[in-house]
Amino acid sequence: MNEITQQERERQAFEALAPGEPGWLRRRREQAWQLRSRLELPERSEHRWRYTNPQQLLFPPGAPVRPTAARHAQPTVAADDLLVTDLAAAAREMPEVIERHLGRVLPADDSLFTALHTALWSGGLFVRVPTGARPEQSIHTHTDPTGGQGVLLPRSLIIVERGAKLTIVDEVARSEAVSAGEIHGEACRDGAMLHRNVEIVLEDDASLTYISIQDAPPGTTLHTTTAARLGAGARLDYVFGSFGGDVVKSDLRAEVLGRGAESNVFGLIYGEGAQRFDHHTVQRLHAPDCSSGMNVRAVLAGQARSAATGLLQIGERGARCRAWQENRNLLLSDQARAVSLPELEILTDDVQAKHGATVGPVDETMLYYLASRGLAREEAIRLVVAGFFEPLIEKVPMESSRERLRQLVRRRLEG
Amino acid sequence: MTSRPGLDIGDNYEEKYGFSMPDTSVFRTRKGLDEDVVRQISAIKHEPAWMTEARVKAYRHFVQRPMPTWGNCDLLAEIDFDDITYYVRPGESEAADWDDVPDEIKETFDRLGIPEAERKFLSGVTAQYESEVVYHSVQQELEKQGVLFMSMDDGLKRHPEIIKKYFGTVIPATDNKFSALNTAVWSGGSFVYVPPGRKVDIPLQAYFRINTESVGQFERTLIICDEGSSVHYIEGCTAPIYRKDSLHSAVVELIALKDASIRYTTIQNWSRNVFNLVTKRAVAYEGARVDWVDGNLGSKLTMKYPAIILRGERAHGEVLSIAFSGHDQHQDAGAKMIHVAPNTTSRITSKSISKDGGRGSYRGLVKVNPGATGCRINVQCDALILDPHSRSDTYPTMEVAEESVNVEHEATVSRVGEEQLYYLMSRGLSQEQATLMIVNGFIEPFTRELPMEYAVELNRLIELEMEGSVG
Repeated sequence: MNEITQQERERQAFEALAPGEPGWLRRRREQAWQLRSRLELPERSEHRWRYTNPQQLLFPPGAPVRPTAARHAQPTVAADDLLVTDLAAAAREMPEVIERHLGRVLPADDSLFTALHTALWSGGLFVRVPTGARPEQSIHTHTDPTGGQGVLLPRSLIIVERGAKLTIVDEVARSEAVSAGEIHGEACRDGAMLHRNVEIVLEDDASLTYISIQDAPPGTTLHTTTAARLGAGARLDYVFGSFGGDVVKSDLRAEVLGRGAESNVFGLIYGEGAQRFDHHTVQRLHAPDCSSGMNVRAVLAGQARSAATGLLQIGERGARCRAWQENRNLLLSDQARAVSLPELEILTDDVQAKHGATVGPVDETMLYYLASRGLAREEAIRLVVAGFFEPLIEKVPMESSRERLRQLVRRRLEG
Repeated sequence: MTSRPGLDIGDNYEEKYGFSMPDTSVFRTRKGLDEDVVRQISAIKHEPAWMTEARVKAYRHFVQRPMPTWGNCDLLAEIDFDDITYYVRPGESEAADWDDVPDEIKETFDRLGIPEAERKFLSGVTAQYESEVVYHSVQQELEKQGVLFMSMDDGLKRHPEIIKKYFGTVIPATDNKFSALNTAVWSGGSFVYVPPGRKVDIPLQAYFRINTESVGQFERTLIICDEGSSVHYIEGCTAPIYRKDSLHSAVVELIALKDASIRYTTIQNWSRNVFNLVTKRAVAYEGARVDWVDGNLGSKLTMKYPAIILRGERAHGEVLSIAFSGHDQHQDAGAKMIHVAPNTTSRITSKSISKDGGRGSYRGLVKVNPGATGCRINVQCDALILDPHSRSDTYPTMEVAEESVNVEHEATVSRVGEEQLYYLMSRGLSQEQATLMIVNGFIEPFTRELPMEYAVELNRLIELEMEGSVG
């Protein structure tokens, strides 16, 4: 219905893109723009879109698209063992690196939204950890979506070179809610729509812990696409905590290409009111001796809905791979809905793969036990929910993030 | 016998099931499908006008309905709807005595062991050859008790009021492309009605056979168990091996009224040039129980997800299935449980074995609707992969819209354990014997549920499938 006006809005945003970018980047945007105009909205029958209507992710009428990230550019932090900068600045200053890596893990033709994002992105982070470097400090990035309507399209590129190691904490929340740390800010307003693309390159034996926490204010639509590529012996631990926003659509894809690599996803979802969560993960093991794990736990109150769908694939060359998936859903209300779809595709025999999923209410025997110890029902439920998340939280390798996640769970339970 | 390494199944199949008889059919519609063909089928059968209209309406839906966009789309695209003969009448009439069945057809069923099986352990048999039931018999005792067991065509003639009341109520023509096709061109299949309180202790059986090349078989089965009654229905399917593919697209509707119990057992062993695209669905009312026991050994591509709609309180549903995927086979099978009423329970147990490059997929749905409080659901899928070229997929979907419900799903994929093998071999078994023993143990929960004769037959089939699979 809004397709024409949508395209019109997109065109205005495209024309308003700041000049002064390197020619190669401008050409890429133009190519992606051409591509976008040829692509259709994804079909609902497509697996990825089964539980979110792609119409909901089109730019809302009247919401301005931020044309450029120039005025948000952050000062470059450069140390011997770490480079952190704004992606647009990096594109100007080290074009050879950015041109080579940008869009390789997440190409423009992935979907209409990726093409659109490739054409229009502005702002975002570039991180590079040189070979062998293991900086002690972690990177914290923060997006504050308060203050009104608007469409934001930040894009990040993270490269962890051979044998290097890094932790990134990426938070979407109101500013005052974010704990201390080195913060890259991006202010936008209430009712905002955020389309984020994150590309992660892990070279051989590189290691990255990526902690993505979102407590976006009500009214926010949050669409995140994260794509990672892992070399031999590399390790990715992706942790997500999903608490805020009205419509949350998140796709995470890990392509494990080298022998002996490991890819893990741990996720917490807490929904209430009319919140809609759709977290989709794809992990593909293309090499021998790899391992992959997924553990997603959702607590749903009110009329909240969550879909946790995950594909785990072991390819023909995936001898001796191990893979497991776990998805547990706790329903606190008879109006809440949970969808669980853990999928396995196993193309060779010498592997171990398993998955388990459960959906259910708070266990009455636990409540009874706690009641017999003198706890009121409400308090007992709070304890059970906190206990439900704790096995995941305690695996998070950053004390500050563990505390932050516990705080968010507590706030929901008390609020 | 030819010996192609790793492809022993065809050879054995050819001998026992893969033979064909000369085509002695008395009538066939021209190849391909249009509205005239649909009307012609209905006219030949002297059907009431409402059925003709239902067929034509379904045909129109079939034409405009796109092919599924999920599952094995590449294989589905191979189906040439214009190259299929949709109706073949093999003989003049349905026989009640084997001696009256035409010789070629009789020989077929003799070789498949059907009359022998009937004598031994069945209370009723229908045998369908191409599009029509050619033989039908039921123990007089059952008829006296008011149990109806006949071909669907006969059912429509003799009990039109029951058929009209229930036909297409569980699976509407518009459910999917292939249910539309079936509704348009259906022929044969069984109609079963069991009166209130009647327990049919000895199984009823239907046997389905496709004989000639590029023929479609579209049987339609409707089983109604009235209050407090029970029945066990068994079907078996085979076909000759041809160069061109055949299409088998059945629709099976089960209705278990209050406290009734239906068990439906299928051993599908179509030849590897049959597309087996089947819609099977049951409705279970208050306190009723439905069991689908589903064995998939044959076909080129099977897409079949027996479903149970648990509509009445305390209804129980079970699907127990095995799938054996060999060379050039894709068994895309599973189960659906739709919990509509409170305190309903269900269990899905799926076992799949892939070898010689075969692909086995479990595709399932567990859905709990709002209001269906206090449900318990358990799903267990296990897959064995016997060599590095074979594949196993698990696609479960769980959609829960009710708080006080417990859904559990577990799946494992593995190969035959080295330790188990060495243990058995150290006890003097060959590797082949040891593997077979492990596979038999793996599917034991399934064979346990079959009547003895079928369990023995299934074990023998698995043995054939496994022959030469080691070394």
